[in-house]
Amino acid sequence: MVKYSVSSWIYGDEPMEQSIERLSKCGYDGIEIYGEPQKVSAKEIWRLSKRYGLEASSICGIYTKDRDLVSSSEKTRNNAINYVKDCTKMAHELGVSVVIVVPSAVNKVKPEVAPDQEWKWAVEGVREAGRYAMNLGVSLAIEALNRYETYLVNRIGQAMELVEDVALDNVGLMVDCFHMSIEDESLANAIIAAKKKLLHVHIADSNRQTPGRGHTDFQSVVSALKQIGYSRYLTMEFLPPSADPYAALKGARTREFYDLYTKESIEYMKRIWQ
Amino acid sequence: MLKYSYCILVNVGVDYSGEPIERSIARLAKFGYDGVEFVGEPSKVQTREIRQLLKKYQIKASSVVQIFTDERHPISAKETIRRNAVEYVKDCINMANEIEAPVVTTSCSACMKVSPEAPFEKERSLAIEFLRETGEYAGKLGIKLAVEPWNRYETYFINRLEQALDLTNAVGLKNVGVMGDLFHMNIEESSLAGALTKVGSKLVHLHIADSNRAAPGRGHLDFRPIMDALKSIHYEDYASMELLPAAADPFAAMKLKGAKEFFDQYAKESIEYLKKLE
Repeated sequence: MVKYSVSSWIYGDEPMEQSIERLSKCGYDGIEIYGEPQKVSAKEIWRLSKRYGLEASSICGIYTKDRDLVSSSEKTRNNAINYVKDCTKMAHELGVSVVIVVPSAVNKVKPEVAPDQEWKWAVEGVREAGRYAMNLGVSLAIEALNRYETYLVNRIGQAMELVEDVALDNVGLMVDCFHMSIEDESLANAIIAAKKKLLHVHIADSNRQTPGRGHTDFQSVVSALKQIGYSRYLTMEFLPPSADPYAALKGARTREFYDLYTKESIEYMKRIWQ
Repeated sequence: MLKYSYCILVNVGVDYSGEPIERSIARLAKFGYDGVEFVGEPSKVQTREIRQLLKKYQIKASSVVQIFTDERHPISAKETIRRNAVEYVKDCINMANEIEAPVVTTSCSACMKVSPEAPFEKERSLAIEFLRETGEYAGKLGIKLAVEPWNRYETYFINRLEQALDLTNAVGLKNVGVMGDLFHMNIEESSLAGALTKVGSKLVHLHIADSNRAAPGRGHLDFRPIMDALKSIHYEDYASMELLPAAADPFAAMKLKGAKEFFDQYAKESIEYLKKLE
């Protein structure tokens, strides 16, 4: 059995209670929390999720350019490491087991220094945050993004390499079906290759809309997940067609986004999973 | 019957600073291509030399692919930039005419420009004006313009085939049609075959790549329904392989890593892969 959640940041600045209430009504098990420990109150989320019978599924780290684990500025790198630690702390307070880590700033498409040096920083940064997370019983999931959102880790194979180089039991990876549709030769094979290191899944169709509105073969995705015995969260992260994924935070949504897409996503995935 | 071509952008580079044109042309002739797709940088080439090489290797020019930079943004709010774009396209049309390429690929926005400068209706009317002026110029020389949608990360303006079709219908010129690029379509279309079928006889050019922009067969696209759709709309123009390294800036990636597989290996396997599906 898998569990279902939606990444709350896609709803923008909607009050958290409204998002949680909607997910509860649509039959979701959890909500993925927007990784802004300074802006969201863990206590408030805890109270609301109890009230509506949901749990927090995961923390979606938001990697802006001042949170770049491979920045050439040491200050920025440290800031990024501290940010991941803060997200981990919030995860611990909420009883969440997974924090998403993107090892570079989102929408940064060119390296600043030699690739080997950046890789070393990525390994060191994730390892430091990973050790901190381990003490709190939290795991880190490396996310690969498509070529237009990062140059560093685009494919699941590259995320696996990073995970192997970091070499901590609580550092694994996640897959995002939208990014995989651009970068990976086969979505199913990428999932199978991740095996036990797969800690989290983001669901969106090939055009980043809700599953069923693009051409991704979710049947084969689900078969692969079942094959490796995946029983964690399937988290919906559907977004408007925009070059800047964080544009969703700036009000580029339409009305269908809220109730209709939230409802149809879980219905579609449940039908396929059965 | 499809005709096959290969975009030598990945070989000669965006400014013809890569391998010599003759090597690219000879390679494609050797692997059985019908045509060569050239980069639209008219000031960097000698069309007389290209003509001689095409004759020598018994191959045709399929098309000229235009490169839209910020200084060539056809729907810019600035008139000087709009004029510059028109002049650039006319130069490319002249180049196509001189090397007898039947198609020039076109766009209405600079590549990697992801936000508008004016309201949509205003930009749409500028796009129609641009396509009409360049389309009429091309028409006199018997050349077609193919409007290419790009994915959301490369333009905000025209992402899907139906948007390009709507625009070309508004232009209303016989020689201004639509093209598809399978790499972009993988990201933007809910059905690739469905989108091609809908464009039908207005499809005048096609870029082939797999979902990851590598050679067909190296990603997860199902080429069977795509080939069937092309047959059903009686598409008999060029299928041109436009393959590029996996990076937001493929040209920087090429310089860094060489992209060797985009030369002999992909040129050979791409045409073999598609011919098997005919």
